[in-house]
Amino acid sequence: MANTAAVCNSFKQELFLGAHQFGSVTLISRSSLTAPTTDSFKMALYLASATINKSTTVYTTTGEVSGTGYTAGGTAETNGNAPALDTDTAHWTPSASVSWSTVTLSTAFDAALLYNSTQTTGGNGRAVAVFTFSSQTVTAGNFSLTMPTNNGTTGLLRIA
Amino acid sequence: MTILDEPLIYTSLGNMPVSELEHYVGWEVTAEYVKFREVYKFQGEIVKESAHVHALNGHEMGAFIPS
Repeated sequence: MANTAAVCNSFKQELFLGAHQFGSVTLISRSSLTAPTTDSFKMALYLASATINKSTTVYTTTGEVSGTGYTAGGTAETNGNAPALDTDTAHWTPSASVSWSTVTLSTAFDAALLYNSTQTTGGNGRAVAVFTFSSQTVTAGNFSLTMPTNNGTTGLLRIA
Repeated sequence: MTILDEPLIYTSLGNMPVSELEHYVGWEVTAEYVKFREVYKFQGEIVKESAHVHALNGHEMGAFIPS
C-alpha cells in the first residue's frame, strides 16, 4: 500500500456545496444551518471599457452595459445542475443559457460576470467568475450565452 | 385586415420588410467559445444586430498536488 498526497475529490465537490467553513464570514441566511437552501446566481454584461477581472469581488454597476431591454444586475441563471464529480474534477454549470431578447446595447461589451445574488456583501452579490468574448453590440436584437457541456473537462466552473 | 405577402422583422426603425434589408452573418471560432453574429442593414445603417455566444470551456481552478 502507498499513500498519495492529494486534495480529496469529495472536498472539491463540497466546496461548491458550502459544506466546509475555514474562517468566519458574514452570510445571508440560507434558512437552515443543517439543510441550507441553494443560492441564486446571476450573469451581468460589462462594457469593453470596464475593468472586471480576477480582482473583482462583488457585482458592480460600474462598467455594466445599459440600454433598451437590459435591466441592471443582469439575468438569473437557471441552476438545475447540482455540483458533480467527474473522476478527479468537481464541476458546476448552469442548466440553461442566459439570454436577453429585443435589446439595444449600443456601446460595445465583451464580458459577463457570474455572481451570487443571494450572498451579498455591502449590498452587492459576491463575484464568482468572469467570462470574456470578442467585443459586441446589439441593436433591436437578441444576445445569448450558451453554457458549455457540464462535465469535468469543459464545465463552467471546475476544481481539479 | 390586410395580409402581407412579405414577412416583416422588428428593427430599430420599426417593422420592416425583410427584402429591403441587407443580411450578414458571421462566425467566430476560438478555443473558448463560438460566436454567431447576425446583422441587418438598411441603406448602410445597422437596424438589427444579434449575437449568440456558445461557451466551449469554463474556468478550472487547479488544486496543488505535490509531486
